[in-house]
Amino acid sequence: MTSPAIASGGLTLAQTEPGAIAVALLVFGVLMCLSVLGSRAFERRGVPIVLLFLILGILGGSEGIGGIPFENYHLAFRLGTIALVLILLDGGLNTSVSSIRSTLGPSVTLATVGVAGTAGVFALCARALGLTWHEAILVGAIVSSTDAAAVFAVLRGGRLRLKPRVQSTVEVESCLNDPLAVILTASAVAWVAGGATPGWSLLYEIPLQLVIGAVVGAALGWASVTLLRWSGVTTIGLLPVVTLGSAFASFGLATVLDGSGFLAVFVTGVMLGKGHIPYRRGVTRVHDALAWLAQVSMFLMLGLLVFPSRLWPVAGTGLALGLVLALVARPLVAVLCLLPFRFSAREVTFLGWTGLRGAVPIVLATFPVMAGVPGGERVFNIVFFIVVVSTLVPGATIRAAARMCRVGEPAPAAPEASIEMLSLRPLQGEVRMYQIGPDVAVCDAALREVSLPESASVVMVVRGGQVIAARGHTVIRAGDHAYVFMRPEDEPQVGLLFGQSAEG
Amino acid sequence: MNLLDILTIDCIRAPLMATTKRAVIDELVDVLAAAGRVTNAPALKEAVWMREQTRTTGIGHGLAIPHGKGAGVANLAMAIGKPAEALDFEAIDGQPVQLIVLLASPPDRTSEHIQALARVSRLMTMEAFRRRIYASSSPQEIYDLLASQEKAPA
Repeated sequence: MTSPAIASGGLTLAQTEPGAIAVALLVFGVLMCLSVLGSRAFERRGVPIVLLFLILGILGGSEGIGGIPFENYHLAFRLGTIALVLILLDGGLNTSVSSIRSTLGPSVTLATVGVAGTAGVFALCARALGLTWHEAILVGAIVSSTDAAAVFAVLRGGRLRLKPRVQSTVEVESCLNDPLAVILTASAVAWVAGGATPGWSLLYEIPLQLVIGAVVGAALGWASVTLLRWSGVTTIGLLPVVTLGSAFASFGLATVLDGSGFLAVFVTGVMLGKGHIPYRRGVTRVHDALAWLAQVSMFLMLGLLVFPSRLWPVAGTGLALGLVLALVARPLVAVLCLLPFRFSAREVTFLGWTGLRGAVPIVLATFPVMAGVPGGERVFNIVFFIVVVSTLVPGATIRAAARMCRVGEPAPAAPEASIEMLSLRPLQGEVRMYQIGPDVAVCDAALREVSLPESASVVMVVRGGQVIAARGHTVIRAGDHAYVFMRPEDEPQVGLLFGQSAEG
Repeated sequence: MNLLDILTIDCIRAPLMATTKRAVIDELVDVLAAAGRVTNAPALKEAVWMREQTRTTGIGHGLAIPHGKGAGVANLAMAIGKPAEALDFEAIDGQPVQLIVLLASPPDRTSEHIQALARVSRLMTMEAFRRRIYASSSPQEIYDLLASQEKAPA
């Protein structure tokens, strides 16, 4: 079966185009909806949802029931890059500066030495399993980084909570290590293609690229926050356009300046997240949705790019290498990298186990194909297997691993209802949510007894499925979620009485 | 709420011997126990420590107000400690702590407990007062400073 776009190649644009785009949107739209429908079943089993998109993509492809022909590696690379920008921007927006600061040492080590080490160890194992040196080194570089998209999907999508230090190490690592994998892959491709032999220059080029990326990302993030705060934009829908634009510009500028674009986007996201931009929660939500759209589209597209008939010849090798990565290379390198940082043996075990791979390696695997490296497609297909195995094995077992290594935390129950203040301008007030523990001062107190700063007030109490008006006689109980309106500078005084808070 | 009603000069210690967060809490609870204000010191230590785990009571500007409710506390009681050197209390502003005010409350007197906490934290928002109390070196000086403030119309 061929698509109308191909079949009607001889017709004029006016006759073919509405039909072609309509069919493409129809098929892609149905696949997107289907993948979301299946997400619950996957989530319950702990399998990263992204694999479902991949499978649907394969089914929709030219050898599946969908019959969509798609073999454009260049287009896949470009769309994949855009998708990664969206995902890393969202990752940055949701990563606090304090969590980065507290795990900078271990995550930077994992993202630099760890990536290079994984690539090296993996290449040795791959050579031992029968790959040529060229293939082994290419594949090693391509699969060396853990994937932000997969990690965020498993950690934030599922109801899994880890100890804060472990969680932010995994997350920050996954955001920081893509740049190095990109650089290593580009060098490996250049070497295999017969061009430049990678020399010692990599030792200063890599840090330089990272520094340029970080500086560009911070500068554009700052500029974007300033722009949003002082431009007085009153059309709410335009705000995410500005944040998205700044991420694109950040990636572009850093890359043009020979820096790491992916790191730049992540840093821009962090700056936007910490800056007091107007309507911040609304903007963040838009980017959450965009990141999901990017993930779904990217994996569907990568699924389309795969031809099952070409996968079979490398199936055995691919599966074996996937296991080598998940069971040998990643754990070994992670343990060595984490030795200098005071993690417990259980935490190190867990961090070694969670080397989830995702879309980044598949996007990187289009490099050698695009460069016309001999055997490039074989590399692409091997990488595909490795990603599936190394996502499936740690992904499906991440909850059990968290339990066994005792790095999980009982997730606090989310309130059944919430209040948030939406404002275009930075206002003098905010609503914060406090989860009431049995030890805080206000527990078992009636609201009239709670002396708060002059401009603060409890506005709502949520107890189980019940929403309770905040009246003087309302008694606050352990387990309640209390919403308090206050000026930001009064928060310490309110927090002294109410305990731990989250922004409303 | 007048803080002088719940504070006696023998419950002020300057300087403290303890140099860590946990030890400071223990020392101040022991001060209250020695003054006969608390009968079950271990239980109160645990209660204050549990509250501290929920969220630090180091509310910034060098002040921490650890507090807890305990069965062995007959009446609301307050102890003040001044560390020999500013110490890390995991305060919300990351700054070391220069003064620790510990409040112990009977389990059923939430209202007074909250008022005392609010009173202390509000008093300490006054920068000039804060500077003077951090500069004082003896229990008497600290007590007199508080007394002058509590007698003045709030």
